[in-house]
Amino acid sequence: MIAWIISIISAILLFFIVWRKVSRKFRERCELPKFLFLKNLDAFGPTGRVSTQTQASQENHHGSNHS
Amino acid sequence: MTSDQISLANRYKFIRAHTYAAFAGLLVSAFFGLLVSIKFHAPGFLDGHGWDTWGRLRYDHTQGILYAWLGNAFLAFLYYAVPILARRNYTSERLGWVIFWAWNAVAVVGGWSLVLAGKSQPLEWAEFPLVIAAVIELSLLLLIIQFGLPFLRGGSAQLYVAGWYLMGGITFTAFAYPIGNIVPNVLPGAMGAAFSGLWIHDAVGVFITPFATAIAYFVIPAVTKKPIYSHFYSMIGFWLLFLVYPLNGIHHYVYSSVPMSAQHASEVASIYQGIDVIIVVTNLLLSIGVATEGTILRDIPLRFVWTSVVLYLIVSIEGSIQAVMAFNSFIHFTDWVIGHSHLAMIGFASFAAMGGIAHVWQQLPDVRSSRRLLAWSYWLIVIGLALMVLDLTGAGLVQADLWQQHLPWIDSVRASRPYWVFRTMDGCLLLTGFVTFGCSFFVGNRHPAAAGLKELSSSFPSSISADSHTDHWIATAYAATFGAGLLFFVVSFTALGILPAMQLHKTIAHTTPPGFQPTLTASEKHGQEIYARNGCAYCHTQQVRFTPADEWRFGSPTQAWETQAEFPQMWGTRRIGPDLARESGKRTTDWQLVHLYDPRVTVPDSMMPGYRWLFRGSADRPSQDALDLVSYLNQLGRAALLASSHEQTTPAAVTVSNTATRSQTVSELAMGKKVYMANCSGCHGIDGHGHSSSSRSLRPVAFDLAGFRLPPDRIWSALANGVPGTSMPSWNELPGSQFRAVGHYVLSLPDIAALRPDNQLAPHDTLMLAGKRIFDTHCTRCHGDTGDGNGTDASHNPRPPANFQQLEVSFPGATYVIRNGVPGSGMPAWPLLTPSETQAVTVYMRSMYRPVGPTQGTSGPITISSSKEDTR
Repeated sequence: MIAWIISIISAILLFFIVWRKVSRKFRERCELPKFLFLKNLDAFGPTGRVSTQTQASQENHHGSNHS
Repeated sequence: MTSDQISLANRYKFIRAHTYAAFAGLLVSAFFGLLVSIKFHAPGFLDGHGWDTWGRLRYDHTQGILYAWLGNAFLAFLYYAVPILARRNYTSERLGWVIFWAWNAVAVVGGWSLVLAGKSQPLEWAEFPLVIAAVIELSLLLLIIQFGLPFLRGGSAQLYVAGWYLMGGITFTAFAYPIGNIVPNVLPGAMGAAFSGLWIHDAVGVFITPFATAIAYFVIPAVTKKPIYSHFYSMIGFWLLFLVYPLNGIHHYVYSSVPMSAQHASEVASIYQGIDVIIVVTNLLLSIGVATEGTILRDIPLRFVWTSVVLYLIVSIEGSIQAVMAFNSFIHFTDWVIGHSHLAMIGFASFAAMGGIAHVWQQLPDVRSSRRLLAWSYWLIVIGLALMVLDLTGAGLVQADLWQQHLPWIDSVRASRPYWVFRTMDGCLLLTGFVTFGCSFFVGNRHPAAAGLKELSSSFPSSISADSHTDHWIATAYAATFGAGLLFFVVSFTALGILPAMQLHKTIAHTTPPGFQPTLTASEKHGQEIYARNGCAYCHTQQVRFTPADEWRFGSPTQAWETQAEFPQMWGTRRIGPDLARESGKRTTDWQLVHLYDPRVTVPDSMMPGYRWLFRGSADRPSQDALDLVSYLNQLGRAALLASSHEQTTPAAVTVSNTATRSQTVSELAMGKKVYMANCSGCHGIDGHGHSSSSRSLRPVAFDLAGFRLPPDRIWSALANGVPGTSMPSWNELPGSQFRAVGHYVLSLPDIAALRPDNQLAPHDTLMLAGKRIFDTHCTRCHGDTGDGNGTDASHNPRPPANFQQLEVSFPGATYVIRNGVPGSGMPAWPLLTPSETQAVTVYMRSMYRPVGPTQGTSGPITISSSKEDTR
């Protein structure tokens, strides 16, 4: 049974990895929350601590090296 | 007040309230921990009451760290982070206060008090009594309303990973908590243990880890002002955590009677979990490294978080390795595991919590904070933790090594003592660090009143760009996976809890011996409760594992059918004292009582606390509680003993050869004296007479080794096999050289000198005549006409009367026995005999002595007929 469970879990994760690989749109969209988070921090976080500029994705910057 | 009307001021109130409660929890719990640590090497410290006994303080130490410290720290962080992550306020202010008071006043303070009062469950991470567990579960459900609803309203496609972790943590903990706290009270023994194992790991996996990881994912970008390295991989880590973690728990019970398929499953899941942690930590470290471009972390809260992330990797990889059965058979139950848990709870969880609340505190208006003290606390805690973990890991390796060797159990306790002393010193350093950390929130510069957070109602940031089609699919996929996570959670309990329980149920039905009664008497049941509430299970396991070392030391492995009366199971997860699953028949009741009253009387160097409060002033005046506890201990393993008595041959016995000769050297006698002092002097006394009041609480009292000379084969046999019906255990586990040395030393103890003429009260012939008359009048009925111990009343005595043909009697030894009797043996005191009569009867008894074979330290080395030959 454990083999089945581990296989299904792996299949779910593989599904996301493959989706990310084949869909540029998904690749971009699934990185968006980290930018939105900075924006939220800017809007609701401490005064004058976070830049309002949307940062470029580090992963996208270093994408050629890492993905 | 609705969520829209909640003001920033109220949010600050909750953050401050939970932060203060967290400090109090941390300091009190760490102080409990320090007391517990001191008791390891100074067991008499703070002794004498139920509430200050080791087990109860240990309960409060762990529960306090989990709920009072970490729980409150996470709640403080939730009030800060959730509105930012969900872009919605928490649900209700009134609900916030209900949660605060339910969590702190009822659960923490109430729980602590009840535990100290002896109302607790003997379940790891589930020690609070059921009524407190109910309050905690209610609080967890309220957390879903307070913090889960804002997330649900905010949508999932654009939810940042920290929000996912917080939502997952809140939801999964509420599901897991009752299973670990309630099910073992319903399912006994091995079946309940399977569920206990799941909760032990879920307490860390679905409560601690998600909140700590959420803090890391929150604080890193908040401080560096740059996004994390990869949100995609952060989500992969999140899914993997919640899908795999619940499958880990059984690895706490490998080599037990829990079905092997479940054990293997937990082993595989634990290794898979290690892969997940590598993904998470790599992503977090890349996020910090790239954002800071390798510069020193000047932000102290971020420094705490960075340390937490690094230690998360170390502790998780360590955990995965520990779950591998081959390694587990070596280090399980040792201090290695305690080092591991401190690394997890302080190194990973507490560093994240401290980083989180320190970061939050920096954002609050009109509060003080000291960067200098915060930095000091960081280094104090880092150094204290590093030393403690290294110390406990070393202690664990030493214990594991000694347990594999055929050495007395107490040797591992002795070897651990220096490590335990060092651990107390580390603990002082840690406690100082915690105090400094708390102080840093109350001194230093005051933040401007105008600073702080922005009102939520100003404007909600919209999505970065509109792509409803993709967002819809992402939201659907995430929601489906979260649902799958919950499903897997149920599956994990099915696969590793329910199915093994069903399998065990069948196994029990097939293997239970006919006539076995799976119930305890009222006295044993009450004893079990006392055992449970005093934390005995934290030092003594009740599971002999299917490992050669366990079987050699404790006997046959614990079978599932034996545990049918255990509500809840008391298998334990740590061995400081020996396993007790096979205690039945090993010790006499009076040995147990004396040991319970003052453990160091019977086991010199024991670190077990004395339970004097279960007695009325002395070991021979036990309360009903003490008698019930001993009654419970004496039945442990009785069923297995009875079941095996028809199947097994006589246990491997050690036979003795008198034919070999050996002359003991001075160095061997010195070694023998050392072994005697370490292991025997508790009962037989430093001088071998065993006349102390504690020794004389045993029934029969400890043998006077200095006053009487037994034949050497009796000494060797007693050492090897113990003396049935007395408190004398087998010392067969001593290494051969020590065994021989202590035997020769004991043989050298008797001082059987003849009377000096100036001490003789009458001529020898007169003494002989008078002695014979007295002996014939008072002694022959038990000792026989010829002194061979076969008198007409011999069989009525609880112990065979002394055979004076084989027992050489000294004048001081005989005088003491005649005056005081031998309680527990049938030999009464004869206080009316005058000194001259006593001398006369002793002279007569000495005349009966007819030794066969060597008489003193000339016999030796013994031949062994058991599998333990390698130890000789």
